[in-house]
Amino acid sequence: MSIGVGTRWEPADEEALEASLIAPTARLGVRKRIRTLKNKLMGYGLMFPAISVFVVFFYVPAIYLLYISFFHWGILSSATNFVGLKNFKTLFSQPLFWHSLVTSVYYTVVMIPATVLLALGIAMLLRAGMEGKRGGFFRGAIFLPHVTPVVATSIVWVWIFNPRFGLANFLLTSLHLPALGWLESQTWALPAVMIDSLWHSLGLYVLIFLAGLANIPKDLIEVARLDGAKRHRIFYRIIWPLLSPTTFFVVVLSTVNSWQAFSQIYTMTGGPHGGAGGPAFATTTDSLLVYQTAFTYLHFSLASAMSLILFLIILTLTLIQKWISDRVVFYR
Amino acid sequence: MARVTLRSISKTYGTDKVVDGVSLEADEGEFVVLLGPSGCGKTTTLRIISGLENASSGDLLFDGVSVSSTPPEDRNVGMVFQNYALYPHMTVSQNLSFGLESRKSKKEEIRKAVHEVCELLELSHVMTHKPKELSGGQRQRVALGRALIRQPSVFLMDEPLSNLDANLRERMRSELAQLHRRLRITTFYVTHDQGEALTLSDKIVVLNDGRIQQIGTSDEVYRKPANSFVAKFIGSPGMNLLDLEPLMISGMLEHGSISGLKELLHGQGADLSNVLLGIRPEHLELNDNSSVVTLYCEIQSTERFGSHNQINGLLNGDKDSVVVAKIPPDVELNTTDTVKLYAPYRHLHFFEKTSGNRIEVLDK
Repeated sequence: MSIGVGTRWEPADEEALEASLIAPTARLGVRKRIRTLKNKLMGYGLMFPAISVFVVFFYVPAIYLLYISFFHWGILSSATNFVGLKNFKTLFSQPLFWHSLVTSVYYTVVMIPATVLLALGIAMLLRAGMEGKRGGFFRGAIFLPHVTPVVATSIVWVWIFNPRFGLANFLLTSLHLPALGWLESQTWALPAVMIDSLWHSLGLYVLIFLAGLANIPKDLIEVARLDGAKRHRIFYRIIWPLLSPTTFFVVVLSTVNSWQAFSQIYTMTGGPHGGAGGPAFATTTDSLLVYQTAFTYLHFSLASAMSLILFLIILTLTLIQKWISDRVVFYR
Repeated sequence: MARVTLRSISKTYGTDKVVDGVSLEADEGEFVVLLGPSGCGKTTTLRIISGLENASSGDLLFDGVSVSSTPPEDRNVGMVFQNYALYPHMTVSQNLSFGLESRKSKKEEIRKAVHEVCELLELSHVMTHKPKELSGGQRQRVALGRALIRQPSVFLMDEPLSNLDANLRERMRSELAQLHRRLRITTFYVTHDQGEALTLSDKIVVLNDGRIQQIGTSDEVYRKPANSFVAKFIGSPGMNLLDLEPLMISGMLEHGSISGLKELLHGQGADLSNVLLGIRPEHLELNDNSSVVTLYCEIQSTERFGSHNQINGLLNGDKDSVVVAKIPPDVELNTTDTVKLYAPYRHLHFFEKTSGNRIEVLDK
């Protein structure tokens, strides 16, 4: 549009002018919105693979587990009946369920302090005496069991704990100590599994403690020495408090791992040949019973209810640990 | 308070000799500063005195008794680290009392000592604070207090002021000096800051490459540097060191003094081609006041410091002979100007070029 000499100014032209002025701004707004939308879609698109894996393999089974724990659910039948809390009532009336809980508690209560003490002790030794290449070798050697498959190494441990020709009893008798029944004994079967579990998991915890120890400045130890503190005092007044975030992390991790321990128990006490959890249910922990209830006895609803209880126990323990940590753990 | 003696102390890491035959003595209550550039072995020497490091050879004596094999916890030394090394999980008062508790002092005594130290160092209002709640200066004072509370016989400080900003550093420096005057504890103080060394010390030990270069008062190391390293290291900026012979040939040295100087230098067995002339930047003047040296300098740059201007120039335009001078702030000089800089006889220093050793020729 041009406004030349002799051209009359008309309202229509004014509207057109206004439209032409507004239009680019409006177009800009739309473009911006499209761009934002594109960015958002791009973001969701990039997150989709990771989220979908998480949803499919974690949230869906978890929610479905919650759902079937309130139903009578058969793997082969399509008939599912809502039974309310009946599964839980059945569980609570079963002595084996309570026995498995006690076994799990026993396992956890021994494993946590044993893990912390051994891992911290080894980490302190590695830190004190082995710097450089030698330290690297020992760190590797300690971590190695953790990267081996649990099932494979558990089979080796079955041999070690063989009461007749196993290495464990050979060592005991060489020290003039009585031989033990190990996996064939109701008393010693669980400790045998614990030894295997400790051996297998210790490397990871040692590494975590080494990282924690490396975070404590050397100056603090030196200044404490100049302050006249002996080794034990330096440990419990300086190292232990400053290491508390690491210790807390190890305790939480080993609690969860202990409650969920399965492969080593299953392999060492029966495996695919049946009879896992024996002798006489001495090694039947909660997680093993969940597996057996579901896949041996095919009571999926009961197993789901049991898993839910296991989940709630671990959650409660973690929350308690968190509550304690807020009061005890020192974060710099 | 103890008299500390180091006898030929050496420390070797692998093939690296970090401290090389250091011998020195600190009298009771003396403030000794170990001064030198990074990596000169001063911190290692301090750590050997503390017992945190063992000497590879030599002996360390407190009051004439060897402590070389005494562990650090039994040496009764207090140490302040560069980064303070306060126990982060303890309050100020716990930080202070830790040492006394470790030595199993009585509770009442500990409480009293903590209060006294807090009062001395103005920490009473932060006694229940943890280190992260304190300012840099307060942390510094807690570190000092922690070392002082046990009344150590030797006090060791490893660059204690280097983490503070300039203003606070100056204030803490004077507080340290006051504290030492009051307590008179034998102190070893490591620094690379010569300002701290010159103001705080009773005695300065200049170190380089693990060896002692000079031991003396701040006046001595400034006025009579034992060698060209000390001359260059002490002073801000360090001493100008120029080849003597070219100066003589180009006539920059006054004729009358040359013959006398030659005689004196020859008398010391010095070869003229092997002599360096040293003049401090603050001793170069723009006015000729009975000077014997006249340097023709081409100005390369001028820096303003408020109290003075510093000029960096090339002697006769020679790129290898840089001369630095401090001139009054009101004199305006432009880059590429050539100026005449004069130095009087009493401010000249001479060093042997190859060994770096001082040649004592002038009675100043």
